[in-house]
Order: sequence, then C-alpha cells, then structure tokens
Amino acid sequence: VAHAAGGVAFAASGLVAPLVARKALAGPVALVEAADDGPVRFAPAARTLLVLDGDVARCARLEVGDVEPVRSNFGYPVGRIRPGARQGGDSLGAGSGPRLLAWWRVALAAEALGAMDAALRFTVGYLREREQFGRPIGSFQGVQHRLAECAVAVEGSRWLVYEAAAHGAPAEAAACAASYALAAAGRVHRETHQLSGAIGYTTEHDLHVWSMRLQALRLELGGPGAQLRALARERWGAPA
Amino acid sequence: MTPALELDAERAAVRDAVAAWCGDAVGVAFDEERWRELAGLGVLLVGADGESGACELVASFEALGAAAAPGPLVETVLAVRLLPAALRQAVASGEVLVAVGEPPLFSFAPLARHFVELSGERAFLALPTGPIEAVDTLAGDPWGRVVLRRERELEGGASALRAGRVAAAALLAAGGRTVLERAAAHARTRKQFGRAIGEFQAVAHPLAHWWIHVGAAEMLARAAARGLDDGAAEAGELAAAAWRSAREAALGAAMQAHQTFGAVGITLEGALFPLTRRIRQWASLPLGEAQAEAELLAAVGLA
Repeated sequence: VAHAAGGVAFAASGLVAPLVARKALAGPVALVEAADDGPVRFAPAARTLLVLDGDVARCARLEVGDVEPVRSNFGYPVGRIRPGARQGGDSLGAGSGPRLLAWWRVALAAEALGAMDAALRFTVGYLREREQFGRPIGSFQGVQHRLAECAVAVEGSRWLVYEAAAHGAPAEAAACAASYALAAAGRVHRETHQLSGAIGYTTEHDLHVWSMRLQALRLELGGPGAQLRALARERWGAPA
Repeated sequence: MTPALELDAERAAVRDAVAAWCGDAVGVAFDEERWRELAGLGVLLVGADGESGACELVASFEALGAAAAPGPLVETVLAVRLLPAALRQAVASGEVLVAVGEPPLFSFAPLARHFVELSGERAFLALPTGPIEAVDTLAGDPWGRVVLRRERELEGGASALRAGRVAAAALLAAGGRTVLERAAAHARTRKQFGRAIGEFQAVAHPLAHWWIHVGAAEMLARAAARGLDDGAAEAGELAAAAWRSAREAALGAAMQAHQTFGAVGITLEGALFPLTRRIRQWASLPLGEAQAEAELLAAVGLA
C-alpha cells in the first residue's frame, strides 16, 4: 500500500478499523490518541475517528468544523482535531484500547515497511544509472554495503510485521515490529538520501515521495523510542 | 565565539601525566592500590570544590578513557560533589569507594563504603538494608545487587550530574578513539581476499564515519568543560549534548571495530574486547537521561 503512497488512510481504514470495530465504519478513518492535541494524519479527510483512550477505544463521527487542516510537507493531509471531537464517541468496550494500540502499531510498521522498500528500490535503480568517478556509483563497495545494510533492515521489518499480523497483533510482537520498523525507517531515510546526493533533495526526483512520509510515520504514536519502551514493558514488565 | 577545542599546554600536560600512569593498563582488573595511586595524582578531586577544573577533568578522563582504566571513575566524580564534606576526603584519596547509581545494580557495590542513589537529577545518601549480592560483569569489575534505604537527600544533584556527564563524555570519546585506532591498525595489516582488509571500502568507510563522530564528541566534551569553567549559560546543554554524543559515538565505534576485527575481536585476551566492554559499561551509567533530554529540547525551543 505504502508503495503506491497514495492510499488515503488505508492503514487505518483497511487494516485497523475492521479488526478493532465490530461494525463497519464510515471511512476514511483517522487514528488519534485521546490526549494528543497535535496534528493527526488523515484527519482532514476522515469521516470517522478511532480514539485511543487508555483501556477503551472510541469511535466518533467527524463533523464539519471538527478538524482544522494544518499545512505540512509530510505528504499526508494532517489536521488538528478539536478536543470536543476527541472526547466524544461510542466506546468499543473494555479492552478495546490495547487492541487498537496493537493493530495501530502493526499498521504503522506496515506502512513504514512499504515506504522503505519502495525508497530503497528506487534508490538502487538510480545508483545503477548515475555515474561518477568513471563508473556507476552503485558499483562502489562503500555504497553497496550501505544499501545491503538497509536491505537487511527492511527485510527484518517485513518479517516482524508479518509475524505480528499473523498472530493477531499480540502486544509484544506489535511493539517489536513497530520499534524495529520505525528505527529502520530512520536509517533507510537517511541512507537513501545520503547516497542520492543533491538530486535527492529535489521534487523532480521521486525519493521525497517516500522520505517525507517516512518522517511522518516516525512521529506517530510517540516515535521509535515509545515503541522500544513499550516492547521492554511487554517483554520484561519493565517500568516505562 | 568559538572556544578553543585543543587542550592547552597545561591541560595537555595533565592528560600526558595521567596517560603515563595508565601505561598499558587496558584490560587490567581493578586494583585498590592502583586506585589510590590514581587518586594521588589529584584526578578524582579536580573541580569538585565548585571552582573551575572541568577542563582538567576532561583532560585526565581522556587519558583514562583511552586506556580503559578500571574503577568507579565517573561515580567518584559524582560522589566528591555530592557527599557531605566529612566523607569527601577519604573518597578523593582513594581510601574509600562509593557506589553511585540507580538500584538495584551498582558498580563496585561489594567494595563500597558509601552508597549514593540517583533518581533523575536527585541524589540520596543511602544505606543497604541487607547483604550485597555480588554480580559478575563482562568487564570483570565487581558489581553488586543491593536494596537501599534512603537516609537523606544530597544537594547539588543537577550540577554534579553536569560534571559527571562531561567526565563520562571524555571517557567515552577517548575510548571510542582508541578502538578505532586499533581497528584501523588491524585493517592495515590483516590480509584477506588477497589484500589488506582496510583496502576494502566497506571496511574503511565505516571506520571513517565513526572517526568523525568520535572526534565531534571529543570536541563537544571539551567545549562543555570550557563552558562549565566559564560559568556559561549553555554549559548544562553542552554537557548533556556531549554525553549523548559521546555515548552514541563510542558505542558505534565499538560495534564497527568489532566488525573490523572479526572473531579475534571477541576474545578476552584480544586487543579489543577489554576496551569495548568497558565502553559498554561507561555507556550504561544512569546520569539522568530524561532530564538531559528535556534540557536539550528546551535549548532548541522544543520543550
């Protein structure tokens, strides 16, 4: 999905919502933490909000005026949701909160995976073509090995995401997939840009399509650090 | 205004004196007599009276870091700043050891006379409520698990931690530099696939990458020390930044050095492992992670 980089709220609508809510929700769906007053991905386009509020997930219809769009370079529509809209909605029952959180983590990791994979493939393609120092720069070992490290990180993310999803998003596996994928996303983002050089900064070159989105994904749900702490808690019962 | 980031002649002399004492001390186990000798150089007390001295501290800790010197180095920097005056002298002279950290695991607990419990940027004089359970560590130092009861809060936690962070940064940056030098030396001589392995880009480039990071961390530690000595407003942020930077750089350098050395690098008798396991230990010191991060975020207006 994230390969196409055009899916509107796909992860939330297509993956999370059906697995968390027992009934069909009017899409697109946006995900938000109850206390988060920052910009939310897909909020301007969403018709339904899934709110994570501790042990409970709530679903709320979004009305006109509930969302204030925020200009950003992230490549997703983002907007601030007014507090009243975040507080309301129907509860999906006790225990629905952790379920939402786990699937949200898996979905986030999956989106990051798709974007990383695409960014890496695109960069490899470019490096095969681009010549400097008398040869395609992709033929230098220093470049190849860095790409190989990225490929390992992407594959690791892939299989952690698949494992978490296949097992129904248990809390530890979901946190593991999210922490690994978001860390990998940061690395792949940096490396693809470092290896692409100046052209990678231009909008004429397509790399930004994925790298801006990878940045946005790394800001969600508290970022890579929060996923690592969650993993430690789930695995060892360690304090947050 | 850029602070001079080279050690001046006086501080270089301090570093050289400590380096001479260290000799070839890499991997040597902690020894109480040698600890007292180190204390005799005045290294443990420098800057503790609140006057300037951070630059000397960094100079000596660079030498200690390069040699992977054993002992509760940063812990003692904290202890001499936190403990009541009556207890300070015996610690500074090396007669008495202090375990400083977050329970339940403390470095040098089995040998410690005093315990200081850290909680964020707060510090408490504490006493064990039961026996100390000795714990083996990779670096071979005597650690222990202990349950403590806080006796009273100690003043000056935030400022002691600033000095501790700068000291840790100096240790880590110098340790990182040493492992990279050893890895490069190995890469120049070790032949595989028909040539010195350092000729392969995939070996050389990552070492260069971490060399830059280690060098930057070293400069940041010196800048932070200068800031502390000058009473600069940004000294706290510089200390926090130096600590984080040096931790990341040293751990990255250690990892890359291990990649370069291959199997021989993880042997106990090899040239690398005694240093990298000490880097790992120095990088785990609990010097108020959350507070340091908050200070850095505030410095860039993101608090």
